[in-house]
Amino acid sequence: MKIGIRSWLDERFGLSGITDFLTKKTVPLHRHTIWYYTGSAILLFFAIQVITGFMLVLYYKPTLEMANESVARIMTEIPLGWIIRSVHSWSASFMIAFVFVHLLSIWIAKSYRRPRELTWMTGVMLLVVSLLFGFTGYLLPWDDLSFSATKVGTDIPRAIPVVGAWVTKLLRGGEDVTGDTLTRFFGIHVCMLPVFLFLLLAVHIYLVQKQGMSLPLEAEGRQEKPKEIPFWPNFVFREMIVWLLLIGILFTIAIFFPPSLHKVADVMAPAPEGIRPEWYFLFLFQTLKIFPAHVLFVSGETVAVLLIIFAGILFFFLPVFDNKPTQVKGKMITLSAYALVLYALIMSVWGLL
Amino acid sequence: MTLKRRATLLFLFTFLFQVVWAGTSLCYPQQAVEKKEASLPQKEETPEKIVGAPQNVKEKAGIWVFVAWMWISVFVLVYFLRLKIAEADRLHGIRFYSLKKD
Repeated sequence: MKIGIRSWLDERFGLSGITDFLTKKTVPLHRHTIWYYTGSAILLFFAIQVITGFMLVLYYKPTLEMANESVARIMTEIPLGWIIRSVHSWSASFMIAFVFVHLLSIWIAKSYRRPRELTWMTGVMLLVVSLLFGFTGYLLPWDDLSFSATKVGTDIPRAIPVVGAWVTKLLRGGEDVTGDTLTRFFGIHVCMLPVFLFLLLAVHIYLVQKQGMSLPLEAEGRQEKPKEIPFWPNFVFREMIVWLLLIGILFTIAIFFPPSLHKVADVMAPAPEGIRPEWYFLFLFQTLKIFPAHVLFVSGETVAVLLIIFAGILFFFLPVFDNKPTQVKGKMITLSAYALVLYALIMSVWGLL
Repeated sequence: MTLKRRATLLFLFTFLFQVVWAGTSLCYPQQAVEKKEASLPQKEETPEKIVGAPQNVKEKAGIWVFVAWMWISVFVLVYFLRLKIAEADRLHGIRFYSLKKD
């Protein structure tokens, strides 16, 4: 019966080609193999995001009058609604955390070097899309905190010379954060970003398959090939253990630490005390805060925003600047990765205080 | 059907049953609370903050049981997966997969 279904599907879809590929594909086994699991963990959290997102969108109403009320209904009336919302929210945080860890591991291992430059670049683009998911999703409950944070967040591009005001207007759908912004953010969150993410993910995964798994520098220079295991079933079974543990951790945290919903946003009210963005924007937010009002004759905010954009461009084009042969260690690059982590940690803690 | 497979299936079914049971136990008390609230006069003030939490003791107990079952299932599945990994590695060691391809 099982063989019959398999051969029926194989005849129509050519599945044997895929299974052949999966059994032939190998994964290097060394003391840094643990970092390979971060990629599939991101995929797992993204799948959870999609499933819980589908559930939430059945009850969420993206209008000025109904947004906060519909989220309150999800949390208080819909069976298991508060858990679904909590899982969606925590899964987003987990996903972004794993994207950071994944990129950082590649940065330190210099796995972005030839021929994997495009894999790195699509990875950075995936990080940006993930952050945009977080930014647009934060406004959707339309409570006073998310409203004020979005107001501050969408005001930042205004500091960019020439195009800044236009970008802010484009993001908000007008001069201020209104119902139009909410509808716009909802559309971006559930329609545009998923399409971008799926396309980027497809290219990224294709490139990973095409180039194969990268090796750490210490193994790269050796004459003998490192030990390898088949992707299916040996590596997939190992990944399944990681997935199970992550699902357990995610659900436990989501159940015991659910996100709260504040009172509905009042467009006319002043911003509440101590508004903060989500944790993954905290270091950028603090960077903007510590800059003086003026640097020489230029606004401090403009200098800070331009510096952040410049750092982002450097990060994106890292494989272009560091195009040394794979075996070269590149201590400065490693140090710069550690320095960035230290800076982000210090700024985030400072922002929380 | 081997003993291992039977045990896996048993745990999967009990886990699934637990999920359904938790779902229904979360549903009914909430509906009861809803009916009770409908008979009371509506309050004008909106709360400052809503925190997602179980509505009553039964729901709270259901959540604890669900979490316990989830972790038991995770550990049982991890145990079986470790056995599967050992077996897959053994087969890879004796070049079973490459022989199969030939």
